[in-house]
Amino acid sequence: MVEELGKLLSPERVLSGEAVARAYDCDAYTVDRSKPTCVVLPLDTAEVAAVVRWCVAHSVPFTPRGAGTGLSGGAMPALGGVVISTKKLNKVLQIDIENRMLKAQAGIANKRISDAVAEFGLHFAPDPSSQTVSTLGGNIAENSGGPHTLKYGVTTQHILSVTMVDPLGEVLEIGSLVPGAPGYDLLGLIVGGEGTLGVVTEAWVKLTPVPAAVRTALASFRTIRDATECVAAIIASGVIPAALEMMDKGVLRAVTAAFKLDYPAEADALLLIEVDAKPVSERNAAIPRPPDTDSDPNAVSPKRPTPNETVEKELSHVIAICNAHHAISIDMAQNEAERQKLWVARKKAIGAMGRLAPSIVTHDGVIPRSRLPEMLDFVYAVAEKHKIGVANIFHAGDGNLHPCFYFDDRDPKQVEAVIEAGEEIIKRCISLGGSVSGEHGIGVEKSDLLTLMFTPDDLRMQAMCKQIFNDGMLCNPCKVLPNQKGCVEHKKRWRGVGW
Amino acid sequence: MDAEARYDEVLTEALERRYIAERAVTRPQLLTSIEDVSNVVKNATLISSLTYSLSHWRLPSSVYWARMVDAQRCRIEDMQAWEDEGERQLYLREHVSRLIEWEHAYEQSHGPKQPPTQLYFSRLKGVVEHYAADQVVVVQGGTRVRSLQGELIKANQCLPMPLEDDNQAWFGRGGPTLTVADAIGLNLPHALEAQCGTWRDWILGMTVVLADGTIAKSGSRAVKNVAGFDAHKLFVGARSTLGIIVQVTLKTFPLASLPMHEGVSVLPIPMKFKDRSMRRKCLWIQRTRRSDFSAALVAARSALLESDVASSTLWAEIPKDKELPRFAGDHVIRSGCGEMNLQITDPTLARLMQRAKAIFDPTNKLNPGELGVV
Repeated sequence: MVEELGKLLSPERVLSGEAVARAYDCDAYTVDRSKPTCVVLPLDTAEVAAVVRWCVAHSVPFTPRGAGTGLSGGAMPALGGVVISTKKLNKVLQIDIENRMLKAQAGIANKRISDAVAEFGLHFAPDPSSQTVSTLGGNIAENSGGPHTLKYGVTTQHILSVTMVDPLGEVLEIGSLVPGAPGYDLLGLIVGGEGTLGVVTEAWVKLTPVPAAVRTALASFRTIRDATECVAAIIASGVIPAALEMMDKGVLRAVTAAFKLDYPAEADALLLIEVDAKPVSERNAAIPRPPDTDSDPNAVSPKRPTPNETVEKELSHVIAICNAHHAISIDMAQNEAERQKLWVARKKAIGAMGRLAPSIVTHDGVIPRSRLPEMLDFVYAVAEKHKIGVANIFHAGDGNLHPCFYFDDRDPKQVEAVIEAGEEIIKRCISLGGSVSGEHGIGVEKSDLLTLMFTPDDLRMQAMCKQIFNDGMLCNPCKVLPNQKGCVEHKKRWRGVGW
Repeated sequence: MDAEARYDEVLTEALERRYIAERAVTRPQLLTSIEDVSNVVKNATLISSLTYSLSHWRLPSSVYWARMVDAQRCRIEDMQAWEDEGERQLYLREHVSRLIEWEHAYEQSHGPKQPPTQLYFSRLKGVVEHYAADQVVVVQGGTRVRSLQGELIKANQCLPMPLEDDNQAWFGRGGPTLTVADAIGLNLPHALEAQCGTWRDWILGMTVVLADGTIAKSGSRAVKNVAGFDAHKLFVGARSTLGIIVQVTLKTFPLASLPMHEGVSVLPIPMKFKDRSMRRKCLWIQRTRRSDFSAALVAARSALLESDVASSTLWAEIPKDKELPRFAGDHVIRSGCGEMNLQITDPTLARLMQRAKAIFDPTNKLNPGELGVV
């Protein structure tokens, strides 16, 4: 296999051996592992297509992989075979400032897209916490979110079209550069398809103007209930902040120790609030005055608030709600440096939590936002019942929870407790009208949990969606849908390896 | 009444009598529950599920028009649905003779048609639950968009489409009879799309009846969800060719945050659609790249009805045998132009759509021909 793939690409871009197999046997979800036979590093779409066709001809499974930051095992080579790494597909191919779009290869890091157009006042809005390393292709596969999802939406709202290699090796262009084209929304399936519908190699993405005004505040609360009720009240009030992120005392303890940050001693929860406003539209210069109208050419259009006025108004509204919910302090950034400082706790929290215990499992569930207070109570009760530590950091505005259980994975009882606690939390999310995953995806981690949320008929409809592109078992097998033929035995094995 | 109008009326009545005399009556299916829809779809061989009031958007393709005649027939009979006798007359004038003509043409080339089953959603409507604090609403597919907006506005929320004029069909509202299921099926552009998204972005969950009668759901009530494939996206803009949308969970928008429409309105709004003669003309909806939009507006000048700069979309009125200039990568949706209403020109998309249709509707019973590729 290595030799033949070496002829298709070049020998130095086909990696194999025990060290390689070990390095690529999982992504950031490390519980389940499976080793590939080799890893290929194609340079372009044609090489990806050549590899896929070779795999199809020889019935070898293949799994696309970006930076490997996925948290549900989507890039794990479940049945072995070939890992198609997009590591060298990392170029910006075309920038069209006038039409606010950019074409890049799938392996480019998310943040590099925004960096490439920063001088034009534009950016790529999806901003997962891993954005400095996670790739465009990975973001497309997982339909990634991020702190600013609340206002700007997830990845699917920012992808115009993709070039992909389908599971049989054919190159397809899906989507259109002008959004909203008639026809079935196949792009909507590709984005969030977790790499099971083909290998995305390039994409045109939408570029969004960088906000003209931003205000950031960090409110601290004596209880987590005060903070969660505040979030529910902000959402119910009709304001749409750009970000609404929450951290509890477990996270505070970790970041305080790691970065010498100073928060009120009596604070049990922090709420990071960001409001922003887009630049004033340049529309008037672009439009010719239409003919034959009765409109008065000298008419004065109603005055619109400036971006600064907009954010100040929204911020004062949100601050009033925080105060009504017993905020004990509210810090407001006066400049970009202070803003970045307020974001430190949120952005570096996961890393800081390494201080709490040898292992951390970050769960990902989502609930209707008004149910946050009772859900957080439930999370603490579950952790206490199972005698494991929990810290919560989450996208409160979206109702997207990330309970982080910290434990010692050398103790099988603790591992078992963490698994059981996680399933209890997910079941509760579903019973409250939520979902098993808000942004980490299903992968192998949660494929069995889908049956808690969907009936066999619901899942059959999802299987029909997959079948449009992928009717076989070679392209990223054993992901997303439960009970796929040929995967059950392997699942048992993965669990055994992980523990 | 002037002579021309009287002539029209007499002609219409004659056509209606002829039609009633020649054709057997197929009563609409009055559906009161999702299970009703499931049973009807399971047992039917041919289903029409977009409401007849949308016929001007549809394609006169093969079986479709044969079936549409029956759909129109039901409409004509259901006089209670017409709040205004003038509306009914206008409708008859516009559609009946053309439909009979198409039906005869179809039978000459295909042989006698099968009677279709028209799904009638007037009793499968209403808000199931409005979670105002979460800004989420669950509605039945037959709920009229106008009614839903009215309910939401009471809670200072809305679907973020232009609110100022109920009759702006070109903004995706389709007039007062447009249902939520139809609006999603058509997915017409609207003027706040760039700022607030489309149905695709507002749908959190959906229940559909598949071609074999299976009731299947997708999504959840949460505003963010990546649990499996986004099956519900496939039904947005699919014109009910893959399944029947019976219930939808939608994200709502705070009314206070609804942005202003940044477009150019050529005619004072009250004139639009109040002038019935305009209904006879063909609507041209064109979306271009930003870089081409000024040129597209200039080209459409005399025909321009409305424009939305933020999404580079224009609405124009042109004769059905004419076209406005096209631009690279643009797309056009028309009404009242038959086969020209909607054209899928991308061969890859057409092939994959055919494949999707074969998987979801293997006997081709759901609105066959509606998207022009199957």
